[in-house]
Amino acid sequence: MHVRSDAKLVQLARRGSRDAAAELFTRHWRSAWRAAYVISGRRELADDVAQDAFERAFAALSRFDERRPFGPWLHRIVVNRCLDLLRTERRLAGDSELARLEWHDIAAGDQELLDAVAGLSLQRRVVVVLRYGLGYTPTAIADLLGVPTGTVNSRLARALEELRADYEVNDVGRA
Amino acid sequence: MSAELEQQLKDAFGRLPTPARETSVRARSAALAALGANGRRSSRGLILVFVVVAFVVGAGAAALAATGNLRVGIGARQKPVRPVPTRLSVPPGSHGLALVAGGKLWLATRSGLRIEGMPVSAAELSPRALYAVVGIGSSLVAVAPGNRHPWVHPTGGRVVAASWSPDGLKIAYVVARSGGYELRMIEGDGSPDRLVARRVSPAKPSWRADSLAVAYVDAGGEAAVYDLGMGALRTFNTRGCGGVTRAVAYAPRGRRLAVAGRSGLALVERWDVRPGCVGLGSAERIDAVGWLSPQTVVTTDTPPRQLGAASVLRFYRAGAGTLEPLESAAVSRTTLRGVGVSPAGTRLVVAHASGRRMLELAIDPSPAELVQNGRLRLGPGLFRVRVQATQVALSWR
Repeated sequence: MHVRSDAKLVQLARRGSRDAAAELFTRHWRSAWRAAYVISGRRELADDVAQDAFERAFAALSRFDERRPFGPWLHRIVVNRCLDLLRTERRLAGDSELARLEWHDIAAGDQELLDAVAGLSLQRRVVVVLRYGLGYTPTAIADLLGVPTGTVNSRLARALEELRADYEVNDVGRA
Repeated sequence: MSAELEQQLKDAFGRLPTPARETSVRARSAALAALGANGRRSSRGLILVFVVVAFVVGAGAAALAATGNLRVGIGARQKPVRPVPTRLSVPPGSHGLALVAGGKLWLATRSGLRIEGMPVSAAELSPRALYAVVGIGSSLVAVAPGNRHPWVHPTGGRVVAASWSPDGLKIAYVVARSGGYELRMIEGDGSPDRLVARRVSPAKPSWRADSLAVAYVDAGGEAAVYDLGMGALRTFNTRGCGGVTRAVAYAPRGRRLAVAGRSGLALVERWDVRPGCVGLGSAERIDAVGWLSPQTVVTTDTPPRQLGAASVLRFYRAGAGTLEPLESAAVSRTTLRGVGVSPAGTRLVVAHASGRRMLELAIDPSPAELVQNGRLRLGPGLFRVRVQATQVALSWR
């Protein structure tokens, strides 16, 4: 079966093809939702952000640069929207308080590690989930976030260092 | 160790849950609807070309007029139409306004609290709008301007409605738990939390003016009141007046309780006195109830389609145990999604659908001008937002 590229689907969707748009949606919905979920840690917020990102992306399709890939563009919208909402919430209700609301429906074995990820600053957490949750390279993350690659690498290194320290402390606790 | 940690992270993220099916279906439909707007914009290209041509012709005519080769008559100048703001502002003479529509919150207060489009399940402003309490995930969160963050209270379920007592000391809220809804109460400072009633409906609770009783709708569709002074629950049957209870509202002064059934309105004055009752036609459906003054109850209802009106605002004079419909019912061509009453209880703010997926807030120009020739008359739009919502909750302080 012939699989149409994202670029072709975008082209058709821009001409008003709902089938092409639906195919784009099906292809990218799960990853957009996952991106929102791994960043926010909350289902309700992920539902809202991912839907909102698709609405914004489809509404702005006529302004989309067809030479660029659709997926990272969509993820950029997801990430920015997520960060906006999380920053607003944190400004209003505080970091530590809201961290308690997150990661409630994950596998028991992963709880400790993801709790540590939730404890990272938003900047570090985003690069960690983009790198290990969504598989982006540091260069792609830099492009997506609009920051230099060096900044991404340093945020990643510091985040891993923080996680490792946290994990080691917990290992000692378990021992 | 680093490679091991990286692999653990990849594995942990790989095991994260996936979106629920109904969420995916809803999002797909919303996304495709947004594409429609995009498509229409593209088709508007022709209109744009037409406008450009008209502009060029107009400019040419103006040039000819300037040289005296063409006489141009200019009629009376039209007053420019003020665009409806897309940023919520606090209405004059009040402390703050909050709107929950389509699971999102827009809020602005005089004290500097501002929230725009935050996903919440419910929200309510404190009496002078210094704080707001919002349902986020499975928690009730009190928020305030700046870095003040009073408390986060895990509720074990989604908060669907909250109501702050008039004295500001307590919050009654309805939370979805164990397959049903519970009415719970928490102090304004976040502690302690206690169960008031186990089986209730997801309607917003309403506080009595003295903050000593809270009315709610129980799971059987009966109006009920929890009396804090006596620590007792009372349920009473107003089903004879319009069927299953949909909403309750205490008067801003005194102890009178308005109970809206599906198609009738009851006024409870005292427990031992039969409530006053007004019925609507069987085809009408009451959507919301509130008090415009200590003597006037206001309802919104959806009339039968063939009447050509989207919503009707009705007014009732509350006498001694009686309700009397007033003549001044107002027909609205747009669908009213929610109604709020000003802190002084004299003005109305209305949320109405103003186009496809658009919601607009407007305040009555003055209480006397709200109804003109049987039609609802609203002042200039206060706020306009793109959101899909069938029901809107408003909190005006």
